[in-house]
Amino acid sequence: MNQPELAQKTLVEIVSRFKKPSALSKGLFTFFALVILWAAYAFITQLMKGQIVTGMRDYVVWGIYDVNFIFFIGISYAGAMISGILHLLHAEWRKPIIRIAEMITVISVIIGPVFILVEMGRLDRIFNIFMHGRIQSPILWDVVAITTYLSCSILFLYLALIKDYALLRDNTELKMPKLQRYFYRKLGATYAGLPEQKKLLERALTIMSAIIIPLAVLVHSVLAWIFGMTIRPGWHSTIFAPYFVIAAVFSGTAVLIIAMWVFRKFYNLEEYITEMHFKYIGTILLVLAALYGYFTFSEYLTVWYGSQSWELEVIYKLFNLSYYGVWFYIAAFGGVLIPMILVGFPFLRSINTITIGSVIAVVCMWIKRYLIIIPTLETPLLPLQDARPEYAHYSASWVEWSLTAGGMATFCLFFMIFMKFMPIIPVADISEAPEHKDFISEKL
Amino acid sequence: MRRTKIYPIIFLLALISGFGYNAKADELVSPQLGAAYVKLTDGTRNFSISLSARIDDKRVNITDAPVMVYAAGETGKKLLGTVKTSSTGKAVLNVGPDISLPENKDGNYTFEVQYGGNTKVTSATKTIQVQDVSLTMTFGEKDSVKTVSVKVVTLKGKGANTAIKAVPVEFYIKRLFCLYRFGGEKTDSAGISTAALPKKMPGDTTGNLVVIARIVENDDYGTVETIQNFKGDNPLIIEPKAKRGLGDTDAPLWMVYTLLVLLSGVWCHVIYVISLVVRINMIGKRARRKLQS
Repeated sequence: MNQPELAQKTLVEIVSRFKKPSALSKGLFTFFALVILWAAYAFITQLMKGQIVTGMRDYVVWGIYDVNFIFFIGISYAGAMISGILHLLHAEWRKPIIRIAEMITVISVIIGPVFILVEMGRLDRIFNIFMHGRIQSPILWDVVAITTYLSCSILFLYLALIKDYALLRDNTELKMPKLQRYFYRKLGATYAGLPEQKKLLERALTIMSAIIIPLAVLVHSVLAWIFGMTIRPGWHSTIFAPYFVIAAVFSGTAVLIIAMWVFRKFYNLEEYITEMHFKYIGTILLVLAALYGYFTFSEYLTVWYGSQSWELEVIYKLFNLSYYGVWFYIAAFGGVLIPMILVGFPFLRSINTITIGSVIAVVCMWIKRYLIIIPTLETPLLPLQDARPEYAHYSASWVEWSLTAGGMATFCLFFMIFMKFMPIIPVADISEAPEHKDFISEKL
Repeated sequence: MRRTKIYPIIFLLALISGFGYNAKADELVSPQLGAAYVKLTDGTRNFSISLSARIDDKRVNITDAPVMVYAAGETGKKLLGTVKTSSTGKAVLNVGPDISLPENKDGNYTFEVQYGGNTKVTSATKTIQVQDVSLTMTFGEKDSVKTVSVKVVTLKGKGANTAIKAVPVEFYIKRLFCLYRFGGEKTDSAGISTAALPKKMPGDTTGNLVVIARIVENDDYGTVETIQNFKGDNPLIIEPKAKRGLGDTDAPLWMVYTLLVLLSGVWCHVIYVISLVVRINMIGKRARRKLQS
C-alpha cells in the first residue's frame, strides 16, 4: 500500500469514529448547550440590570471574569508552545497530539477575550478601544497582542490542516453533505502533495511555529504587565511576566493532557495517542511544575521578606487560614507538588495518574489566578470610610458563575463541533515517513 | 372564683394601656423650623430654610412640605413666596432686589417664615428681623501693601446712610473649592473695616481675584455680602502641556515605532505565509492543467 492509500485508509478509520455520535456524546452535547443557554440568560440579565448583578463593586472591579480571561489565555499556550516548539525540534512523536494542542489554542483564544467584553459592561463602547485607545496603556497592548495571536493561531491551525483537507477533498469513501465537501475543496485548495508544495507548506509551518512562540510569550507578558505596571501589592513585581508565562505553559500543558485522555478514552485512539505521549508530555508538565513552584516561592519570599506594610496586608490575607490561606496552600502546594509526585515517581506514573495530576494542576491554576486578582483588589491603599461589607470582600454572584460555566461549556462544545469537521489526528502527517532533518535552519 | 374576679381587672388595665397608646400616637409633634437670611451683593435676599422634627429621639426631615415666607411691616404682611422642602427637609427662596418690601416703624425688615403643619406635625413660625445695610468695597494701597476696605452703612429708616461701627466683617478670596479667609476686623467709627490682601495669591490667568466681604450671621443685620473683582499681580501661569509622554494623550515616539516594528514584523511574516499558501494553490492548479492537457 502506497502512502496516499495508507493516508486515505487511516483517514476513513479516524473520521468514522467521530461520524456517529454515541449516546454519551449526544448527552454531553445537550448538557453543554443547556449550560450555554443558561449563561446566555445570565448575560441578558446582566445587560438589562447592569453590573450590579455581579459581585464586583468599588474595590473589586475585576472579578472571576478576569480570572477566566487569564485562565483561557493561559491554556492557549498548549498549541503555541507544545506544537510550535515540537515542530521546530522535529519531534516525530508530536504528530498525533499537535492537532488537539492547536485546537485548544484557537478555541481558548476565542473564548478568553469574551470574558473581558462581559466584564466591561458597556459593550456599545467597545469600538472606543480601537478608535481612542492609548498606545501607552497595557490594555491596548493586550488588545493588539491577542488579536494578532488569534489570527496567527488560526493560520497555524489551517496550515497544519491543509494536507488533511486535501485528503478529505479527494476521499470518495466517506459520505458527507455537499456543502461540507465544497468547503473541503476550498480549504484543501489544490494541494496534491507535490514536492514543491510540500516544501512551501513546510516552510510556512516553520515560519508560523517560530512566530507563534514569541507571540504567545508576548501575549501573556502583556497580560502580566496590566497587573505589574500598577503599583499595587501582589501585582507590582518584576518577575510577573515570566511568572505568568510559566503558569500559562503549565496550565496549557495540563489541559492538553486532559484533552488527550478524553479523546483516547472516548474515541478509542489508543493506537495513536499512546502511553509514550502521556509520559513525554507528563515530563514537560513535571519540569513546568518545578519551574512554576520556583517562581511562586521566589515571588512570595521576596515580598514577605521586604515587609512593606501594604504588601504585608495582602500577604497576611493569602497566608492566613481565616482569609485565603486554605486556597493559597492548595494552589501553591497542591498544584505543584501533586502533579510532580504523580509524574515524577516511576511507580506512580501512568496515563490515569498523569491525567489526575493535570486535572489538579488546572483546578489549582484557576484558583491561583483568583488569588492573584481578588485579595489585591480587596486591599486598597485608601479604604473608603464606612465601606459596605460587599466592598471589602468579593463574592461572585450567580450571574458570574453561570457565565464561567458557560465559558467552560463553550470550550467543550466548540471542541465537539470542530472535531466533526477536521480530523483530530493529523492523518496526512502520521502517514508520512519520519523527517530526517537535523537543523531548524534547514527547514527555512 | 378568684379567676372570674381577676378578668375585669385585666380588661380594665388593657383598656387603660390601649387608650394611653392611642393618646401618644395621636399626639402632634412640634417641628424645628430653621431659617437663615443672606443678602447677596446684587441685593437679592436669600432664605435658607430647614424643617425637621424629633420623633422617637431621632431627627426626621419633613419633606415636600410647603413653607411660606412673608415680609411683615406697618402696612401689613406681604407674601414673598412659597417653597417646598426637599428630601433633606431643606428649601431655598430667593427674593429679587426689585421686589419692594414693607418696612416697620424703625425702618427695619421683619420676615416671617411659616409652616402650616399637617396631621402629625404642628405649625411653626420663625421670625427674622434685620436692619437693611449696604456694604461698599474699595481697594487701595498703603505702604506698598494692597488693601481692601469695606464701608458698612444703613439703608432705610430714620438713620439712613449712617455708618455702622463695631460690626465684624470677614474677608475672603474665592478659590477653586472653598473660600480663603484673609482678614476679619470690626468696623471703625467711620463704619470701615480694612484688611491687607495676600501678596502672593495667584489669580486667574489674567490675575483677577474674586474678593468677598461678609457680615456673618449678625443678630441685627443677618448675613450680608459684597463681591468684587480685584486685578492682582499674580496671574495663573499654566505650564505648557508636555507632548508625547507616558501620561499624555499622544504616546512617545519610541513607543509608537516599537509597536509599529513589532506589528509589521509579525504581519509581514503572516502575509508572506499567506503568499506561500497562494503559491501552493497555484502550483497545484498548474499541475492539474498539465495533467488535463
